[in-house]
Amino acid sequence: METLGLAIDTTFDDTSVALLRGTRQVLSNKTLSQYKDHEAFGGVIPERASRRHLEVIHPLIQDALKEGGAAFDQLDWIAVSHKPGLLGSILVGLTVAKSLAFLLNRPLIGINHIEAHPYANFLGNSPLAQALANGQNPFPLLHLVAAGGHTLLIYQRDHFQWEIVGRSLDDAAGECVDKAAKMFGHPMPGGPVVDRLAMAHPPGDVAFPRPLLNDPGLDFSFSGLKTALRYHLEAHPQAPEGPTLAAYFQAVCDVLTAKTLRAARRLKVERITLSGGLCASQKLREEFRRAADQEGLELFVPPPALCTDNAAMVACLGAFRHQAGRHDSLALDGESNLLG
Amino acid sequence: MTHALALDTSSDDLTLALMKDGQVAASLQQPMGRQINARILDEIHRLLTQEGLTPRQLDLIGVSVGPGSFTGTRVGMALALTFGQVLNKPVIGIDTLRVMAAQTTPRAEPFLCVLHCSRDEVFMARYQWGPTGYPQRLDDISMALLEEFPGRAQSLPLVWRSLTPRWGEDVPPQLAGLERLPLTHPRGPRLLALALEDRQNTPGPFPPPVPLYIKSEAFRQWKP
Repeated sequence: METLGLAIDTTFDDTSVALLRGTRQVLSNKTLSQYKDHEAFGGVIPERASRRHLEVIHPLIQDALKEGGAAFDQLDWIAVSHKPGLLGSILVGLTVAKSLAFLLNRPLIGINHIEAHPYANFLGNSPLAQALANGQNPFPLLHLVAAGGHTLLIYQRDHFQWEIVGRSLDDAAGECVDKAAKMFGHPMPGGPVVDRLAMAHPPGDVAFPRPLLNDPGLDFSFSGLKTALRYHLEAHPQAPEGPTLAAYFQAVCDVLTAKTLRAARRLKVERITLSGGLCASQKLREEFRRAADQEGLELFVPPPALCTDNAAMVACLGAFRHQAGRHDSLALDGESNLLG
Repeated sequence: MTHALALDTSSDDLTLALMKDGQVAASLQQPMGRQINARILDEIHRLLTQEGLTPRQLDLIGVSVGPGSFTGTRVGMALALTFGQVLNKPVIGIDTLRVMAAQTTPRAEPFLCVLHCSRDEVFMARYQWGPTGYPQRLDDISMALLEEFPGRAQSLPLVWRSLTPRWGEDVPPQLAGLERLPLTHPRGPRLLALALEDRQNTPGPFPPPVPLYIKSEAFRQWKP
């Protein structure tokens, strides 16, 4: 009988609980977004996020168990993201997970949220999940994790063996897209709005910069692009929203695809995956499909709902960690930094 | 006979108390700061094992709901609520100032409980020992600036403690003239006693505890 695991993620502003059978069968994946709670502030207020996590986590666990048709006593292991993110938020999910592991006398598995993001590609009947189930070795993989808090290129040799080969030196790509939407008066999250406009409009003729594109390294920079949009809007207050944001997002897509492909060539990797909230973008997916085809690379993209923060990806990595006997003690603490 | 666990993580101290067969069997009050997150479950496990109890034998969980460190309060409440959910047992929330009040020796007159919560701010509320043998709060908990405090204190006797040992347990010089009531009982066992008292006085299901995030806005409306 395959194991049953419960995973919790409260690293940022979403509270999420998932139940996983084996390493890939998602029995439930419940996420409560806090966007409405933070809308008026134009960004996530850490204290407010932590309060919401505490208010909703226990009912959410109840929902996840009910939907998955499971009871506490049937769980084989508990996984939880304990880094990186907002420490106050992490501590809510982590304390709940540790208490569950203690009370049920089951192993605790502390997960790096960033390492978990690409595992959205290993769930259900996805090609990578099937490859693993058939005993094939899909590694090495190059992962682009693009979200509101991180833009990272991760080279993965095998489970638990990975390194960051490129990262944003300033703002994350998702942040840069959210703030662009905000400049046009859209509430959080701005990503879906920008994506819709980018799909509907050909990119206007505004020449937005492609930061660090000509730099030979694999790092990103997006804050200058944000500033370029601000200056453009100051100079052209009547700039049409659709074409302007389409041109802006094209610049983001160009940099992300070019750098990812460069990394793949340099590291001699034939398979790349996308994950993170920004990768829910239809436009970005299309750009990557085209670029990967041209380059002869295999591209793996999870369903949009598994791109944004969710506990199913945490559960997936947790299941592999459980298989490998990589458990943590109840002294596990939270860490806000990625490399802490 | 009742088995119960009480915990308070709203300050730099980890405070625990365990009741076995209706008697306080073990307790702990230790300054740990950020170490609380890493050590709390090991300490709870140690107390339970020492008394030959398992978590499933607990009938009730008492937890401090603040005011205090917001993050610290959430850690304790997240733990207590998970115990309540898994064990299907009531979780009773008790405010930190009421625990301080219950740590004093009973007296007839009202007194002020004050928790030094930042360099220049305090949480405060008035309490009075009731006929039940437990102190009751007389007004809403508020947050006050230390410099405004003497005017608010109304010369009431004072129970004072600090959220962190870094600030010491001495009252600031401007309050030195007020009568200070000593904390004559340990914190954990009093928290446990209050939780049991509230449970017994509340028929039917006990409402889930709500964290107290007291801000200075409340202070402006505070009318003693």
